[in-house]
Amino acid sequence: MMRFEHGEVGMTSRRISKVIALAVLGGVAWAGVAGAQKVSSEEAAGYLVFPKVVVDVSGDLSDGIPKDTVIRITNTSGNPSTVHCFYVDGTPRCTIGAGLDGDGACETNEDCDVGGICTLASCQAINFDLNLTANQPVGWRASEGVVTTGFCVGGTSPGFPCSQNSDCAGLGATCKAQDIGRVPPLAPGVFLGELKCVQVVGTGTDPNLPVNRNDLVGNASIYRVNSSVVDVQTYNAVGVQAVASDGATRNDTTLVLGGNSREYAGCPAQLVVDHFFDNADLSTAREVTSDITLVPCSERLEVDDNPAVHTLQFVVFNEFEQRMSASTRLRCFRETQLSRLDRRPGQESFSVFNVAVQGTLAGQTVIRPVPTGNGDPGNGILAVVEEFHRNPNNVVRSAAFNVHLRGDKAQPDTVAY
Amino acid sequence: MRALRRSWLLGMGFACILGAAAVTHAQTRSGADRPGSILMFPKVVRTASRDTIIQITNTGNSINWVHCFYLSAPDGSGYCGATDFELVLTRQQPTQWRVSQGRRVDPSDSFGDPGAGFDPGLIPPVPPGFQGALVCVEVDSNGNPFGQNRLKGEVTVLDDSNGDVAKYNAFAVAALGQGQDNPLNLNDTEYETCPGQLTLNFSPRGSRDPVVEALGNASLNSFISTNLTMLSCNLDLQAGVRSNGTVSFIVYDEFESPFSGSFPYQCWSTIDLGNTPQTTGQFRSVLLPGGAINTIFAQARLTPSGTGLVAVVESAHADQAGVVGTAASNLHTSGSAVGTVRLP
Repeated sequence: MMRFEHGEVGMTSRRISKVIALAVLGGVAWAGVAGAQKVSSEEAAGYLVFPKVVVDVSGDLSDGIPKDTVIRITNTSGNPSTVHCFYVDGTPRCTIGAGLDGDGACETNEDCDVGGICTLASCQAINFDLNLTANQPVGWRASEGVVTTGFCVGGTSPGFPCSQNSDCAGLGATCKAQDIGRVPPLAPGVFLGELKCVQVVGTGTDPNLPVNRNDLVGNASIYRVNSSVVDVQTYNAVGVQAVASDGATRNDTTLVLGGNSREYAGCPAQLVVDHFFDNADLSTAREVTSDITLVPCSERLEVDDNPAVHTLQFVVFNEFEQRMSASTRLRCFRETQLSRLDRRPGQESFSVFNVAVQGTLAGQTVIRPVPTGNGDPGNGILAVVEEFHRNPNNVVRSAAFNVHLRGDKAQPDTVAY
Repeated sequence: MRALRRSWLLGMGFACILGAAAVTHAQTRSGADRPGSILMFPKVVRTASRDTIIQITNTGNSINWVHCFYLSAPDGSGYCGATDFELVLTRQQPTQWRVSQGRRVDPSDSFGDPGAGFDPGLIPPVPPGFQGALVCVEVDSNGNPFGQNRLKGEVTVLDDSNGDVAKYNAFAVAALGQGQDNPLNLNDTEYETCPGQLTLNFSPRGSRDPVVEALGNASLNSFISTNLTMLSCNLDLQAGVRSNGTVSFIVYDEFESPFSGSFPYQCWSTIDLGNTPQTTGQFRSVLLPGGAINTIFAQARLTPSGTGLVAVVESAHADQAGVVGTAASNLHTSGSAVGTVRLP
C-alpha cells in the first residue's frame, strides 16, 4: 500500500477534487448542450418531416373537391443552405385496375377492378435538391413543383414562377432570375405521401452528405378548392435537430436519430393527441371527424422496397377518465380517419374513437410504438392530425394541427438514403 | 481511509458524470408541442360569427388543479383585465368548452352532449365581442403555483356563418421544479423562459393565392391576408397593469431582400399584417398601394423588446367572390427571453 506524506495527500485530494469538479462541470455542460436538441414542430432543425402532402387537382378522391399542398421551407441562417428532399409516395393503389386517376390510386377496394385490392403499393421516394440563399423563404405548389428559374416582378402576378418575361401577366411584368433548383411536379394523378428534407453540404464529390446545422423551418398548407369552396389548413413541419451545429460535414448518408450514438435528436417515445371523438356534434350545425397521418422515423429512402411494419398502441381517455385501447400497424405511411384505426369502413360507430362509444366530446389519445427488440430499424413515429367539420348541408371545412410529443425513445431510428 | 475517501469521491464524480450523461436525453420542454405548467392561448374570440372551443388535458396520472384567466385589453381602456376561474382535472382527463357558453357543473348532461363527462368546474362564458387570451396555471389544492408540467391545450376557432375552422396549439411553459411562488418567474430557474424570437412564414397582404388562382374562382383576384396575435410573457393578472413593448422585425422575400421596421405591442395585441401604418411596406404585396414585397412567400423574424412573447398567426385566403378559408398555425421560435406572470 502506498503511503503519502500529509501534504502530498492533501495535494492529491485537491487534484482529485479538481478533476472531479472539472468532470462534473464538463458533464453538465455536455448535458446542457446535447440535451438542448429536440424534435419539435416549432424550432429550426437540420432535418424536416412534412407528414402529409396531398395532390389531387382533378378531385378524383371521394369528396370530389380538388386538393393541393403548398410547401414552404425557409433558411433561417445568414449563410446559404442546400437541402436534399424526398417525396415518399404513400398513395394506396389498386392491384388490378386503373383506379380513380388512371394510375391505380384508390381509397377502397371498390375503386379497383374485380378481384383487385386497394393497398399501399410503393413507398417509393423521389428526390430533389433546393439551393437556398441566406435567409431565403421558398414555397411551391406540390402539384406543379418548381420547373422554372425565376419569379415574376411587377404586373398582375408578382411572385408567380416564371422562366421568361412572357410567363408573367400584366403590363411591365418581368421575370427576375432566382433559381432555387428543380422540384418534380406531383400532378397529374393522385399523390398522397410525405416529404422529408435534410440540410446537406451541397458541394464536393458527394453534395448530399448531411451537415451539422439546424437552419430549416417549414410548414405546409393543404387546400381544398373549387369554384365555391376555399378550405385551407396549415401545419408546421416536424424538425429534427442535429446534435452538433458546428457546420461540419458528416461522412455518410445515414442519419441516426436518438440512441447513444445519436447524430440527431431522438424521436418521441409517445405522441399525445387531443381530439374530438368522431361524429361528435360541436353544435347543431357542426359534426366533426378527425384524420391522422402517421409516418415512421426510420426509413431507407430510395433503397427499400419492403419497409418494416410497426405496431402502434393507442390508449384513449374520455372526459370521464375512462380508458380504452386499440392498436394498428404502420408500414411507411398511414392516413386514416381515427374511427377507422380500429374498425372497418361502415363500422365507425363501434370504434373507441367515436362519440357513440365514448359519450363525451373530447378525448386524449396516447400513441406508443411497440418496441420490437429484434434489431429491426427503430420504430419511432411522427404524425399530424386534421379535423373535418361537416354541416347539415354536407359542406366540409377543415383544420390541421401538430400533435404533442413526449419523451425520447431509447432505441435509435435511422434514415438512410 | 483516505483511499476509501478518494474512491468515494471518484465514485461520486463518475456518478455525476453518468448522471449528466443520462440527462443528455432530457429536452427543453416549453413550446406548443409539449405539456407544461403554464398554458398560454394567445387568441380567443367571440364575435358575431366566430366562437372558440378550448381543449385542456391533464396528461398526468394524478389530479391536477388549474387556475385560469381570460385576459383582454380593450382598446383605449389602459388596462389588461382578467377574469379567473378554477378547474380540477382528474388523471389523464381531457376537457373542453365553447367560450361563448362556458361550462356548467351539471352531472345530468346526456351522453354525447357538450357537457358530458366530469365537469372540471364552473367556467364562465365570455361576453359577445370578446377578443383576448386565456392563461392557465397549474396550482395545488390551495391555489398556490405548483409545477407538474402535465397540461396541454388546443384552440379551435369556428366561424358559424360559413362553417370555417382554424386550429392551433397552446404554448406551454414548463416549470423547473415544484416550489414556485407568486409572481411566476419565467427565467429558466422557476419556469423556462419564453421565446426571444419568433419566425413567421407568410404571404404578404394582397398576394395572389397560387392554389386559389389555379383551382378556384379567382382570375387574378384572389387575396391573402395574415393576422398576428401576440401575448406578452410579462403579465400582471393581479392589478391588470398593461405591459408595453416594441417588436422589431425584419422581413425577407424570396429574392432575399430585407425589409425592417417595428410595431408596438401590449399585454395582448392583434394586428393585420400589412394593414397598419407600421407594417404597410414590409408585409404588403406590391399589388397594393405602399406594398414592397414582390414575392408570394416571405419570412419575418420578430424580436420583442425586454420580455418574451408568444404568438399565433391566422391566414385568410379569399377568392374573387369573397369565399374565404382560414388557417391558423403556431409560429417557429428561437432564443429565450424572460417574463413574469403575477397572479392575484
